[in-house]
Amino acid sequence: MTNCQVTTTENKSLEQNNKKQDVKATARRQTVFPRYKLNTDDHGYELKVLVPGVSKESLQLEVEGGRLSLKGIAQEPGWEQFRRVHAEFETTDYQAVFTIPKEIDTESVEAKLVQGILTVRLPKRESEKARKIQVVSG
Amino acid sequence: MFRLLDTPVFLDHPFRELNRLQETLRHFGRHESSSFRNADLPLNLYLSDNEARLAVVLPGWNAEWIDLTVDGNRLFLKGEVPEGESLPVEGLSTTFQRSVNLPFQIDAEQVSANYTNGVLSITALRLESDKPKQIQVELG
Repeated sequence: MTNCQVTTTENKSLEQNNKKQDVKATARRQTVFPRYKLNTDDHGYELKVLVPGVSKESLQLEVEGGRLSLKGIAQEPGWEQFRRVHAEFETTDYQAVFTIPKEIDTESVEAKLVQGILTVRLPKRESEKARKIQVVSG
Repeated sequence: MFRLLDTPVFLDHPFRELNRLQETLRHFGRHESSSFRNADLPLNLYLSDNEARLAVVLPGWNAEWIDLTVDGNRLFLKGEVPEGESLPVEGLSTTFQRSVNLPFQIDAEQVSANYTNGVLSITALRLESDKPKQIQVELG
């Protein structure tokens, strides 16, 4: 038994490989609505979207008119010279539109993509946050 | 019968095994691979004469949590989210175990794995001594 090292690197060659096929690949590929989770707290909302295979560069995120739209192109492995002998998944692209509440401060929306999981932080406007009101005894 | 893949095991979800069984029954009689189609951490296997490539969808993992072992013609893939750590999204499997039987012996020194954008890619090369050799036929 030999242990093998698993490394994380920017896969540049993979990207280069894919540039040529992008046009052809996206034409016949399926686009799906990604799996997501929405959490909420006092400060706002946190949206987590599963987009495995999508790199930061091939992900588009837009906030406009109360909508958050997402589009992600997943990378094909680019292994055409191999026979695919077993398949449990197909490379799919992702597209989704979420309606966001008015209380969200669209200027300070933040997004982070880590290993196929996109986290979008949607903070509430300062004026919309719950305020504690001091009760004064008279 | 020679099988390339084992059945996936998801240790943290006992019901998942049951679901998988149902899924297998649903696909009974069809091609073998279709029974895993709804597995949480799907795997694709690609082969050429002297090389095998694997792609596993593992969103949100950390490369250190994945353990890859080679034994003869078998590739073992194991993953566990360590205690105190968690995946960024709740509800995903936190342990998994898969093994792949390749049709040739693997050169353990030449196995490489890369984890990018939530997809684990593994390359395994055939052992030099396992490759077919041409034998010269001599005239007697």
